[in-house]
Amino acid sequence: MAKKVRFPLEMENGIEVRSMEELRDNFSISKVICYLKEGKLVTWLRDRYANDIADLIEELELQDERLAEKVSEIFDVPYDEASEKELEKAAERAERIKKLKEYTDDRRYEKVIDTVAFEQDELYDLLDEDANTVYLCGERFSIPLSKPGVVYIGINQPVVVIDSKVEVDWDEKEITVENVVFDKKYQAVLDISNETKEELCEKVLGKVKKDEKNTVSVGTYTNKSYINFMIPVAERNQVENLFQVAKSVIEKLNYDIDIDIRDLREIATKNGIIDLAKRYIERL
Amino acid sequence: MSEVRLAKFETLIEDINKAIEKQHDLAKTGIFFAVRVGSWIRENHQNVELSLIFDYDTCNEYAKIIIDKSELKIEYGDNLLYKDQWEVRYPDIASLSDTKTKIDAAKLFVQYCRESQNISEGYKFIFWSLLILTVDKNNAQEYLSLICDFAKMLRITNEEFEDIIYAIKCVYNEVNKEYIFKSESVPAVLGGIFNLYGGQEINETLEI
Repeated sequence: MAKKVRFPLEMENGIEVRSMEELRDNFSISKVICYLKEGKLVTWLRDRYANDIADLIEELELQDERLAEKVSEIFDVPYDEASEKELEKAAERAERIKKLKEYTDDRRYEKVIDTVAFEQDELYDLLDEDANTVYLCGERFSIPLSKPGVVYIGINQPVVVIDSKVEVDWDEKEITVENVVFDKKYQAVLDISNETKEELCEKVLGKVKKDEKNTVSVGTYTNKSYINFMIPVAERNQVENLFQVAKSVIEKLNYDIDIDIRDLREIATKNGIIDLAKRYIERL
Repeated sequence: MSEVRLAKFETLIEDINKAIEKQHDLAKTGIFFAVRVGSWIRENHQNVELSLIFDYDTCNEYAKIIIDKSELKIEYGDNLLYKDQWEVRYPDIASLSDTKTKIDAAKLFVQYCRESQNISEGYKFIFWSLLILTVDKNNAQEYLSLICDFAKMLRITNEEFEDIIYAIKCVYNEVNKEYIFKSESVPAVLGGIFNLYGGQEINETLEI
């Protein structure tokens, strides 16, 4: 006979509970209410033969103002101010997730909803709390360059305003900015900076090579590929390193199908083989 | 672009492909299989996987030759579904024309290249992709970025990546006798190239 699959309930911090004892030890009122509303709580209880508790839960009115208090009473766990705050926080989080879904279907960001800034003030609040990573979800954000050690990750490629008249050295600032679009002013600074670098490069090299041995620039790494979202955020810098390694070689390698006969061809050309017969005939 | 030049290049790619496959078969079984058991070769022999990166229609003739003449041989091992999943779903390049399909195909491809019997195909995939960039620089920024993304997804280390790049340089006879391989796996897979061009001797055929 096939064994019944009993699913666990997940409490705070990802703790899975599989028994009444575990549930009481790790009780999270907001999680339990959530499961109650989904209907999963009763199933979980009946799977564990806690029918008396399941019956009491089923009798509850979901719209009852004192629902959380009554659930706590049924499970014989304390209901206090901390529980109320937890409920409020859970409701707030649910609202934020709802807002997040207006911008993206990617559910990975739900796990980090507490570090998502939907507006500038939220960004500042997160920085006040010394957040290391801030997810930006909205139209436009201003990035403070004086707060080091922060990674800013755009969820919907928002515009970020960089208040700088020169190209920012992000490594020096210990700031990382990903999946965003720079504001027009700063982008213009970058464009000028890149042009200047190319001019300097030309001056150092002496000339721009235009023959077959030309180094063709492949540009810089772009994180806009269709699979980039599957790469863990922490590893994306490593991809850029791979790009730099390959770039330095690929730019210089240009396949020349005549490479094996080039020297011989040069010898033949230099010795005037081309049109030799024509010149001979003309002299006759 | 003359037919003779293209034919010459085609022969080069076929030789490289054969050298790689011979090295691989010898490493796996001690025998060079003309047709490997437990894997499949598409009837049209195109390296369809490369179209996860490149847009075939906009490639130049040299790049197309690489796509047409190179091969990957994913083995489905215990999972007989791969053949059905990949070959039926993505029988040719045209089947990977839209982005959503490509994303799904990329996930499947990476999943199977992470299996132990197919790790070598991941190295080859990156090798052929980089080789295309040396003959066709069109959209190089986008393609090289995508190649690097795939390399990361395929869990290719920096050291392995550098060795693959050295293999590319060997194709162009830029052999450095002093080069010290940074990985064991890449020489084991691409060693046939080094020997083909009179480069470094690979004395041992290493198991992956």
